[in-house]
Amino acid sequence: MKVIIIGASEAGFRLAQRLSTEHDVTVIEPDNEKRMQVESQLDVLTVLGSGTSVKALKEANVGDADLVVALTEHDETNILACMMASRLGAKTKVARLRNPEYVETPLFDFKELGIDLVVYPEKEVVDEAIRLLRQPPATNIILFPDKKTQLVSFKVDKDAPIVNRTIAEVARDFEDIAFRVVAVNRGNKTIIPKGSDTFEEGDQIFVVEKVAPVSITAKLEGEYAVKLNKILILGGGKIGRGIARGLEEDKEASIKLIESKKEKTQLVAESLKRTLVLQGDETDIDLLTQEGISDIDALLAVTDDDETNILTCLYAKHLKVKKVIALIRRFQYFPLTPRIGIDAGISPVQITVNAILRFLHRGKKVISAAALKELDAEVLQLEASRKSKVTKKPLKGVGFPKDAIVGAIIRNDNVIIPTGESQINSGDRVVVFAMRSAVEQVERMFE
Amino acid sequence: MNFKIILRSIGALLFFFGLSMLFPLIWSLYYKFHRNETDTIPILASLLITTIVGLVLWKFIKSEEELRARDSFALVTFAWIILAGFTTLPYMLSGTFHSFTNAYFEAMSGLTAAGASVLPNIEATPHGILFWRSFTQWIGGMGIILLSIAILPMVGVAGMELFKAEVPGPTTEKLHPRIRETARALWIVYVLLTAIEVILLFVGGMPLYEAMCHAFSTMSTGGFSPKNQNIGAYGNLYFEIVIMIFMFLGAVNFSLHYRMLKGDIKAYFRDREFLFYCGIIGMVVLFIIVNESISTYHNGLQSIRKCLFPIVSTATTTGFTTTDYNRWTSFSQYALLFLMFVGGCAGSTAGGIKMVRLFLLLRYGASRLVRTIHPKAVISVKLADRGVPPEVMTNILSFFFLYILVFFVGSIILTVVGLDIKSAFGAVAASMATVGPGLGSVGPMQNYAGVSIIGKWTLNACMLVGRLEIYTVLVLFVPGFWRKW
Repeated sequence: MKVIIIGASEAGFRLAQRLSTEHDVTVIEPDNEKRMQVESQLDVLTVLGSGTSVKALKEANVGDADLVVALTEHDETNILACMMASRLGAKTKVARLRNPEYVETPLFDFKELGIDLVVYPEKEVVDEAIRLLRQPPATNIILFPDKKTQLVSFKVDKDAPIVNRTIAEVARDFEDIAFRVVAVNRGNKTIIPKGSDTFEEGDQIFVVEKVAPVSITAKLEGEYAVKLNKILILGGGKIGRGIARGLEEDKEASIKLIESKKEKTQLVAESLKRTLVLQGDETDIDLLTQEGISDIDALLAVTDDDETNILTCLYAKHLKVKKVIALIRRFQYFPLTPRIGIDAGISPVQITVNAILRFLHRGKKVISAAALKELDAEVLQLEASRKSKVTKKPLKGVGFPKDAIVGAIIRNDNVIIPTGESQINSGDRVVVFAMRSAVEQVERMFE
Repeated sequence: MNFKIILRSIGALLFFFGLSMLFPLIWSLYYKFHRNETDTIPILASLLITTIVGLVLWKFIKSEEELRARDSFALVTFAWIILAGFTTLPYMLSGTFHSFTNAYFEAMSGLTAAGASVLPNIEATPHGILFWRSFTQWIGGMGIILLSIAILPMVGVAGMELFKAEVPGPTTEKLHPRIRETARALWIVYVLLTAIEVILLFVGGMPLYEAMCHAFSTMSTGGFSPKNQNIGAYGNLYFEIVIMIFMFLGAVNFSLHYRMLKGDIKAYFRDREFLFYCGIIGMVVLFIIVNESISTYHNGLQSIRKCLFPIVSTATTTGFTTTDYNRWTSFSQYALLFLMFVGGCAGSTAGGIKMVRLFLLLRYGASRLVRTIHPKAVISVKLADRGVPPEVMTNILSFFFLYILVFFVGSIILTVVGLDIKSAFGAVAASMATVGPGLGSVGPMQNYAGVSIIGKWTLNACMLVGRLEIYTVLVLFVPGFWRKW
């Protein structure tokens, strides 16, 4: 597939990196230094120029492109670039937009402008933050489009009841709950576990589970349904406001929001109902202490500055706040967050890339695909058809790739956790966790 | 420096390099039955040794790390040195050479597509060995690493660094978003052109074996021939014309051929380097022919035929010979020395400083002159319509300096070991530009057998440094390169 990415932004770079192993990627970027960086680090073609320059678009051969993704920092450029690409004959156009006004007030139809998908990372960031708050130990949640299953990851605490027990034993304890441990990240290694493997302190565990009011992760960690009610949000940008608005729906929640810019606090206060809005420096320890940072249940640091977010989170963790979540815009910091003790990081870049990947896989047998941040792995949801090789025999005999594991089978709206004896039928939707090297093999099994 | 991954990669290269000995093996079998030649067993043994050593390195050395940009220089340089070592196996085992120095010289001269030979009586050598000799030129001409990028599943990013380290030219141009596809496209163009030449030569009456050997040495701008008198042995105008055309094509940027095959024939005439190259060759051809028809041959038509072939052969850094240009006037020989220096186009199989660099150096020189009159002038050095970034220009300037530096150091060593100045200059210039035959005592009708051992190893180094365009090899001599940080 021929892909053109407009803008070597953080998200543009990551998407190019992700796609360049399988597709022919061309990146258009007006800043020469950024362009050189992309060219030296990725196996892609680069074109120097603006995404709204006809010359640059033609040089990148936009007319032959199967996919054009506009990921510059400016919404207007992204829209215009997609419109121009559309005129020049590109097949599928995707634009990332930051300003929610474009959707909230439906002035124009994006399809009419030639844009097939609009990605609003800001909105999805808000959703993910709220999901993470509702499920305390989780550090990463990927909800599948069927809304029935999700992938959750969490870190094994030293006090957790599962430490040093085998996966098979733990599974027996929670027999009635539908879940499957699909991967364990220990040190820098990722293993697809067998029943005889044990949980160790510090492991990052990935679980595929049926969506339930309380995630299995809470039970595995021994924190039965701890509800996080006292929440402090740092940063009153679009994301901070969105999260506060979402949390206000929960009557038990008590929310405080700190924003440093005076003009902005006014806006924040106007748009929120029950949230206490404070004006002050987010890194001002005195202010944080005064507002009772040591007593809160959760901290959401979502300012525009990664360093502020990380620093305040570390401080809160030091004060034994149960859950700290940081917004991480620089993707390079992202894999570091679980290692330095932050419970969860939210990356708009990862969210954007995942949204585009999901869109790319639509219409195929692969219903959804999400790339995982810490691992070189993917979670796929595939639909088995009558011809699929995987339906021919029970799972253990079908020759499933070693670096992949079936997490769950969704059959007629029921979630089944398979064993070696289970057989996949045609029409089943199957959640598969696969190391990237095995993704292709897995997809072939479902063809 | 990650030696494990470098050794592992070289293992993979060796394995495929060993497999490529199948081609000379087939010819040696053919001639075993027809002429009772005895090189089958040595070639088979070389094949087995090379593939087994390769396989062991490839499969038994484990490395979890990935190839980094810095490792790629070491990988490319060591790969060339080691592969040249294995190239000597058929020569040594068959007894073609008794001294390792001679065998290695022939091997390096083959792989770098120089075509300088130390083989005393070529026609007495078994056909399988001679085929291998031409075949190494063909593989080395387009690039061993490039071939491996095209066929081996290498990591994309590291592939780009390897590509840059081996493909000649100041900037590298990708024909395709993915490096592997780019490498494939270049090799496909190369194979196609070679096949066309084989057919043309064969149709013109050259035996298939010789047509293949010559086509391999033409497209790689190498210059080995299975004939003692090289192309001169045929005295056939048709062969000379075909070979001249393909030598010329071999020295032109292959991305232009690729565009031509894609239907864009005008790409040639939009390319400044190509036009400049034609201009330079045209000018030298005119000067030499006029000069030689007056002073040496006294006959216009004969002079054209006698002069054109060696000029094209030298300008494309091939080194096929038909004429003894040692008999020419000093001016004509000097013009040939100039051609050796500048070489062919970037992105081709030719060696030398490269046309595009010369072109930009001239423009840059002119812009500096203008600046002495108008100190405030802002002048952009342009190639076609694009300004050349200052860092690329600085790179070219230092490349030029290093090239001249290596040239002088090399020729000083050769004068120390006993060559006269003209021969020393000719030998080093011809080696660095991978031409092959030089001037004076290493001229077209002589060979390098008379050069001493130290001289031969110096020339080996010159060929490697010239083929890999200075930086890739010289960077290994920077102490910081070997430190972790």
